[in-house]
Amino acid sequence: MGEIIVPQRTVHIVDSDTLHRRDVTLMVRKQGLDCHPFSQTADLEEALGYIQAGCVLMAWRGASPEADASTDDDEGPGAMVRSVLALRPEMAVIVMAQAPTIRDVVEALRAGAVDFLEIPIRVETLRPVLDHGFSILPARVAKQQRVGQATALTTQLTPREQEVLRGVVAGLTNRAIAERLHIGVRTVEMHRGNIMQKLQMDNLAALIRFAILTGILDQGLDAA
Amino acid sequence: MRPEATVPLGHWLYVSRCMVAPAWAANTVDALVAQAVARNAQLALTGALLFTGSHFVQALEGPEPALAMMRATICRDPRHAGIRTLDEGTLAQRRFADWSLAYAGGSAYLAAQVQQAISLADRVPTLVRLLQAFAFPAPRPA
Repeated sequence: MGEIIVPQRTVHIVDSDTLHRRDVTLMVRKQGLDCHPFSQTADLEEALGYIQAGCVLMAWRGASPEADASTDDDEGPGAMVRSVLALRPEMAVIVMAQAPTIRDVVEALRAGAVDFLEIPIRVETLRPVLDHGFSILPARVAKQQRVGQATALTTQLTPREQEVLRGVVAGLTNRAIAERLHIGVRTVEMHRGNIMQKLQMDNLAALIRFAILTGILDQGLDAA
Repeated sequence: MRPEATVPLGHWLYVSRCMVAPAWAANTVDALVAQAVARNAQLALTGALLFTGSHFVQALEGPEPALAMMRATICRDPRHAGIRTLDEGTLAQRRFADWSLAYAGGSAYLAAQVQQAISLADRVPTLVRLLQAFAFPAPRPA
């Protein structure tokens, strides 16, 4: 597979603080980077379907006032990070916060943020963090493209072929799959042949790799 | 093994430089963790390891004889160098429930926390709390 080129270095910024959003946006543009400011996480989420892969600088400004006083995990910075990665797993998310607690930092990083920045942001710390984000981006984009292609191929399988595929991936023999699905062993063999052909694969290792990519491995027929 | 109450509980916190080339570092950490989980459980050692890409930080605690043995093993390990003790002593009770990999990645924020703890002794407790927070995460949805 050829190298994936991320055409332009884009930074998406989410910050509800107008002045800070402007300052960071200008700071990023001064670095010669493309920059798109958003005022709310919801605005970014709306645009996630079509915006370019890049770094996402998200300001964590504490839980919303109407939320429960005890910051629940699904209200914290971790949830904010996951809301982006759930839709665009390749994005290099960086969380910014003023006087962050240890818990804020740990939650953000555990949720998949590549780094954390303390507000006020300084160019000397921002630049290397963005550079690191951009350095891991091509591999992430390439992985997402493979997942996308693999998922598209899965939709070409009939429901029965998908069941057989889950059985194969779960490590079941053709006989065991046949018994589970109440079909003949020869029929299972036929389905397996069709699966390999449709997925353009010629060996079991490739099939397992495919299953990992598409998440089929997590929903295999219970092998127990 | 003797009941834990009769054996003094020791702890050791150190930082060291990774000597493995960056391209192999991820594999090295995977291998190291797989090995350490089993061995530390066997020796009743608890704690956490943090890897910033250039440095290792590890908190270890447990019965002093086992801790001393592990410490000698760690000091001989060629995968790191420049081992520097940030804190050591005895504990009334454990700070970690088990041994785990706290973090492995390229966060500059964490790398800066490690650097601060190296140069300022009063930043060491923050580093320990950071390791603890990674080790006891709030439950999150799958």
